[in-house]
Amino acid sequence: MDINRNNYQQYLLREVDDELSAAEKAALRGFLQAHPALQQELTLLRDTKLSAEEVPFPDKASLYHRQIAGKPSSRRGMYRRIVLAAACAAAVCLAAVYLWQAKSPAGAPATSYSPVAGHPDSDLVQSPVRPPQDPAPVPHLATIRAADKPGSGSKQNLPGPPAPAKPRAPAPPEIPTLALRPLSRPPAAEWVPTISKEISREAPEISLPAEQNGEAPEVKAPGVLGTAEALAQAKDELDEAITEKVATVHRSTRDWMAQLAKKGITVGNLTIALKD
Amino acid sequence: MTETEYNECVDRYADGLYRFIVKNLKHPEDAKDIVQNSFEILWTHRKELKADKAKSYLFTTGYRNMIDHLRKSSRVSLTEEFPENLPAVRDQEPDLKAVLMAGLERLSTIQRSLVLLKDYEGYSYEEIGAITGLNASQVRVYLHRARLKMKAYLVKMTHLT
Repeated sequence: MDINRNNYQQYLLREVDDELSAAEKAALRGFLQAHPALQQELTLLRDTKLSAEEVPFPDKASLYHRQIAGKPSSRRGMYRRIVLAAACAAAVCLAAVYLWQAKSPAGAPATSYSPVAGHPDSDLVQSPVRPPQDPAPVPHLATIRAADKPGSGSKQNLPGPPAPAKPRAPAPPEIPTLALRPLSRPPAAEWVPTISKEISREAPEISLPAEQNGEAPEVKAPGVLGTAEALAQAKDELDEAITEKVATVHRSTRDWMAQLAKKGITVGNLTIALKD
Repeated sequence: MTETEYNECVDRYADGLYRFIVKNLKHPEDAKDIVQNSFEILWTHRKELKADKAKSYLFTTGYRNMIDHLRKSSRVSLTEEFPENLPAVRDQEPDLKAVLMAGLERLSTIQRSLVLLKDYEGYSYEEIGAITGLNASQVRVYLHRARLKMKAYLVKMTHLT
C-alpha cells in the first residue's frame, strides 16, 4: 500500500467517511506522522462531517398500522370501530330494556282491592278479579292494556307472570279491553229516579273530597327512572287511586239516592222526590 | 415483515427519513408527505420484505419520491454543479454548524443527499449507491467532491471572520 503526496487526499477523505480498512488506517497514520503538516487538512475534512441532529417527524402516530383479523387498518380506523361497537352495544341494551318493560305491565301482579273494614259501602270497593257473573268489574290498568276481543290471543302477545291466585269460581273468560268500564251498580230499575215536575234543573251538588275534584292522584315518581319496579309501583298506585275515587263517587250517589227516596231533596223552592 | 416489525420501523426510522428529506427540500410539509408516502409503500410491500432491509427500502423510496417531487416542482438540477453565486453567511458570527449548513445548501441535490446519508445515517458507499441508483465508485467520487467543496467553503468563511 503506497500512500504518497499524489493520492493521500483520497485516503484522508475515505478516513473521514470511515471507509478505510485497518491496514489502510495504519498506513495513513504512518504517512501523517511522516508529514505532520497534512494533519491539519485531515482536521478540516473532519470538520465537514455533519454532527448528529434530531429532527423528529411531526406526526408519527399517522404512520402506525394495526392489523385486525387479517385486514390492515390505521389507528384512526381502529378508533372508529371501537365507537361503532360501543354504539351497537348501547342499542342492544336499550332494545332489551324496552322489550322487558313492554312485557312487564301485562305480567305485573294485579292489584288486590280489599273491602274497607267498617264502611257501610265497603262492599262497593271490589276486587278487579271478579267472578264471571259480575257484569262490570272495576277497571284495572292491566286489563286496559289487553287486546279488544276476548280470546283473541292477547295473552300470548302479552306474556308475564300470572296474577296472584285468588279464590274464584270458574276461571273468568279473558276480558281484555282497551276501554274503561263503568262502575258496577245495581239494576237501573232500582235507582233511576223519577223526578217530579218541580224538579230543579240544577243538579244536586255532590260534595266530593278535594282530591276527587278533577285532581289527578298523586303518583310517586319512580326512584329510578325507567326501571320496571318503579313503573309497576306507579301503576299499582294509580290503580288504587282510580278505584278509590270510583267507589267514593258511587257511595255519594247512593247516599243521595237514599236521601231522595226517604224525604226528597229541597233545593230552594223546589222539592225533588222519588215516585213510588 | 410483520405488523409489529413495521411499527418498530416507524419508531426507528421515521425521524431519520424525515430529517433526510427535509434537509434536502427545506419544506416541512412536502417532506412530511413524502415520508408518509414512503411508509405507506413500505406497509403495502411489507410481506415481500425482511425487517433488516426496511431502512434502506424506506430511504430508497423516500429518495426517489423526493427526486420525483423536485423534478415536478422544477426545483432541482441533477448535476454536480456547485453554485457559487449564493450569498455567504456573513451577517453574524458564524459557528461551525451554521457554516456547515450553509455549505450543505450550496451542494447539488445529489451531493447533499450523499453527505446526509453518509453522515447522518452512516451508510457505506455501496448502500448509498443502492439508495440513489449510483454505483459505489460514483458515490465515492461525488461524495469526496462534496467534502472538498464544503471544506473550501468552511475555510473561506473562517478566514472572512
